[in-house]
Amino acid sequence: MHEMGITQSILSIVLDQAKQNGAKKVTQVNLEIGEMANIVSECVEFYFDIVSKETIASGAKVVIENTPLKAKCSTCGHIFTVEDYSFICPKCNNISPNIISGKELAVTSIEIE
Amino acid sequence: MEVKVLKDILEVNDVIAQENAKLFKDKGVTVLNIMSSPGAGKTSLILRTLEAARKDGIGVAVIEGDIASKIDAEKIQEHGVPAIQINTGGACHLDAHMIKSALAHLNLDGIAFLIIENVGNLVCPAEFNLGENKKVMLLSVTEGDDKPHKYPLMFSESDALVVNKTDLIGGTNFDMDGFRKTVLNMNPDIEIFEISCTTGKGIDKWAAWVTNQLSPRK
Repeated sequence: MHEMGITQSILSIVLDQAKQNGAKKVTQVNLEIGEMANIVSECVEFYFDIVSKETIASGAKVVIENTPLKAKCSTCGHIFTVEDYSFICPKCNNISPNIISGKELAVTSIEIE
Repeated sequence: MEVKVLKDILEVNDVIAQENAKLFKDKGVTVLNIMSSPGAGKTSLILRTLEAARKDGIGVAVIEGDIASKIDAEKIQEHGVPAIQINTGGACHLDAHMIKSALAHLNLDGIAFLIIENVGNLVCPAEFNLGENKKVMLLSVTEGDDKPHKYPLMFSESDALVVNKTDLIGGTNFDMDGFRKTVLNMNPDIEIFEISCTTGKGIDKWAAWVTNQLSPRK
């Protein structure tokens, strides 16, 4: 949810970074969005097109890496993909949700000219 | 040319939440963020909690969050407890900035607990840190026992879960044992309380947990 507000925050970060690096144009925005971040990637792409109009990021390609929800069992160390938010370790059956990926909501990099 | 950014998009909220948390810590105030669907019983739970706090002589203040109206803040104020009402005007959750603004109107001297009643919503409040010590969610039995599957983030992020309206469970298909198992598979550290705000059943265990969260005073 809140994809519009999130997208505006993304644009703000992108334009700030572009300015800091003396960019004339932003051609690509790379995002990392985790499964647990509750964000619909298609909405972010859609809104970015709208909010970036008349900025140097207008027309930039938005590339989203969706990271799956993964946990490391703090009992046996096994790393597993979490299905249906069940954090039972498939190896030792203990429940110890040490989440190692899936909560990300970040701008990882931008491509500029 | 690629420019590495590595910036968290919700950083702005989290920075303000940390500022709020520091203020609370400096003032020795423990903060609970109470979240649930509309009508699950957040205000009723807060009123029951206030009763218990009064018996123990613990100073409490409340920040109420709703899209509109002052109904909840007025209910709290009728009990002689300071309450600030935030009207979001459309935003479906409270965020750290709204809390920071509300704190400008709240005197925290003598206050041990600040209870924040979030906007009724089982989705978004879980995503926004306010600077609280503990996230508490409510679910009433009449909402159904399948909610953990449908709203996993809320159940995963909360420190405590209060299951309310247990006096009505006979009129529902709510499978309490199955529900507890599902929730604990998602969040093994969550504390679960079964209560009825109407009858008062289970409130004592809840109140004891709340009291145990008190920040050590400076």
